[in-house]
Amino acid sequence: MKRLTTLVILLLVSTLANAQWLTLKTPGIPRTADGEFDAFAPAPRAADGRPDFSGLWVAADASGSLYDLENIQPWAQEVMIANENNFYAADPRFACLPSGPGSYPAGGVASGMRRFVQHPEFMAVLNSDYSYRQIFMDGRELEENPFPSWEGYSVAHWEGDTLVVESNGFNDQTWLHRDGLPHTDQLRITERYRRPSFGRIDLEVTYDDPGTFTQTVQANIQLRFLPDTVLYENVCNEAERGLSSNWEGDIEDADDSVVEVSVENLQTYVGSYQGVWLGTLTTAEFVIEDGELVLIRTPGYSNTGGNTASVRSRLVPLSENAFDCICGLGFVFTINDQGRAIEVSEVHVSGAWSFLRVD
Amino acid sequence: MRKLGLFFSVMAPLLWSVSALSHHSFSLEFDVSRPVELTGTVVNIQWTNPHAWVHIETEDDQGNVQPWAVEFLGVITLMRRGMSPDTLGPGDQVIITGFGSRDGTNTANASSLTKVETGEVLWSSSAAD
Repeated sequence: MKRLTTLVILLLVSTLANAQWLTLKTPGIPRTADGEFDAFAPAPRAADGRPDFSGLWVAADASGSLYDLENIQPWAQEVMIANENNFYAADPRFACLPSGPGSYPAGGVASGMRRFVQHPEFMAVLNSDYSYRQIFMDGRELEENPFPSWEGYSVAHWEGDTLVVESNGFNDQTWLHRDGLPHTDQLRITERYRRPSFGRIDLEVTYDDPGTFTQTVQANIQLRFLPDTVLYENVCNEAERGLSSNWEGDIEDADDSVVEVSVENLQTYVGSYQGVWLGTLTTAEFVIEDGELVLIRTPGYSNTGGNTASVRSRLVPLSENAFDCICGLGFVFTINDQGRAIEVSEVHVSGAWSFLRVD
Repeated sequence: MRKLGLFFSVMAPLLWSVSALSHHSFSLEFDVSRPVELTGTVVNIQWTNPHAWVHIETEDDQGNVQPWAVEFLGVITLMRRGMSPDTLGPGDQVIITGFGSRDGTNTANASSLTKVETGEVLWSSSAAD
C-alpha cells in the first residue's frame, strides 16, 4: 500500500513537472468546487488593505467617445485616413518601436495581455513585447514639462478603492489606438481602475489633448483576469526574414490596378454574411455606395477586443470576386451554380475566415 | 454556475484572440486574388515572433524545386493551438492553403496546414475553439 502511495505521488509530481506553462494552473486564485477559476469571488486586497490589481489581464471590451470621429481634429482625421490607405504600415510597432499610450488598455496594440505587479509605492505593468510602464504611488507629482518619452510618466493615488493614475510626458510618435489615431505631446491621460470582483477590472480613461481632440474624450474598458496561463515574450524583430521587405500594399495602388466590376455584378454580393472570428459572432454586410462595394462590419475590426460598434470600409476589386478592403483585410466571395453569392471569406494574415450568407 | 459557464465560453476565445491578432495588415503584404495550395516538404521553421515562418520546397510542373516561405502568426499563438516543434519539423510533408504575396515572390500566408502523413490539421484559421 505504501509503495502504491509513493507511486501515485511520484506520478503526480511528474505530471506537475511536465505540465506546460501555457496551461499550468495558477496557484492562489479562488476556484469553484469543480476546480474552475471563480471570477465572481471578491477582489483580493493587499497587505495594506488596498485593492490588489496584481495579475494577468486582457482588455475584453472598449467603448466611449475616444472612438468617435467627430471629437477628433481635422488634421488627425487626415492622418487616420492616410494610415488607413496604406494599410497602417506606419504603425510604430512595425518598426519595432514602443506603442506608448497605444499599449495602455484602451489602445490594445500590445497583443492584449499585460501583467500588473502591485507594490504599495509602485505599480509595474509588463507587456509581452518587452515594453513596460512604471506607475509611482509614493506621493510624487507629475513634472510640469518632462522630457518627452514613449511610455510617458505616471503617478497614482487612491480615492477609496479606486486607483487614479495620471500620465503625461509622451512624445508624439505613437498612436492612441490601432486605427491610426495620432496624438500630440500635449496629451495627458487619467485612468481610474476599480476591481469589482476577482475576475474583472472596470477602467475609465480620460484623454486630454487639445492638439488632437475637439474636447476631452473618454474610453470605458473592461479588463478580464486570465487564469491558468502565462505572459510569453513577443520579440518584434526576431524573425531573420525582413519584417517589411515585401510589404508593398497601398489602397491607391490597388485603385490604380483596379479591375472593372460592373455594378450589376457587384449587386451579386450585396447582403449579410455571418461567421465567427476569434470567438466573436461577426456580421459582414455589403452594400453599394456610389458604384462601389462597401463593407459594414459588426463588430468593427479592431484590436481593442470587444468594441461592438460597426465600421464601414470601402472595398477595391482585384478580380471579379476578390477584393481589398481599406480596413487591411481581403474578401473573397464564393458563387454557387445559380450565380448567387453564398459565402465570403474574410482574409487575415492568420488565414481565411468563412462567413455564410444569412439573407 | 450558468454564469460561470458563460464566462468561460467567453474566456476561451479571449485566450485565442489576445495572441491571434496579426502584427500587420493582410493587404499590406498579400494578394487576396492569388490563392495558393502548396504541397511540399518542410525545410526549416522559424519559430519566431511576431510571425513564424515555415519554409517548404515544392515541385513545379517542370519538376523544378520551388522554395516557398509561408507566414503564420507568432509562435505563442501556434503553440496555444498545438502547432509546435513537437508536432511539425523538417522533412514533414505538408499541404498549405493560403494567399500569395503582392510582390509575386514565393511567399504566402496560411489559412491551413495539414500534415500529409497523419492527415492532422495543425493550423486552420476557421477552426472552432
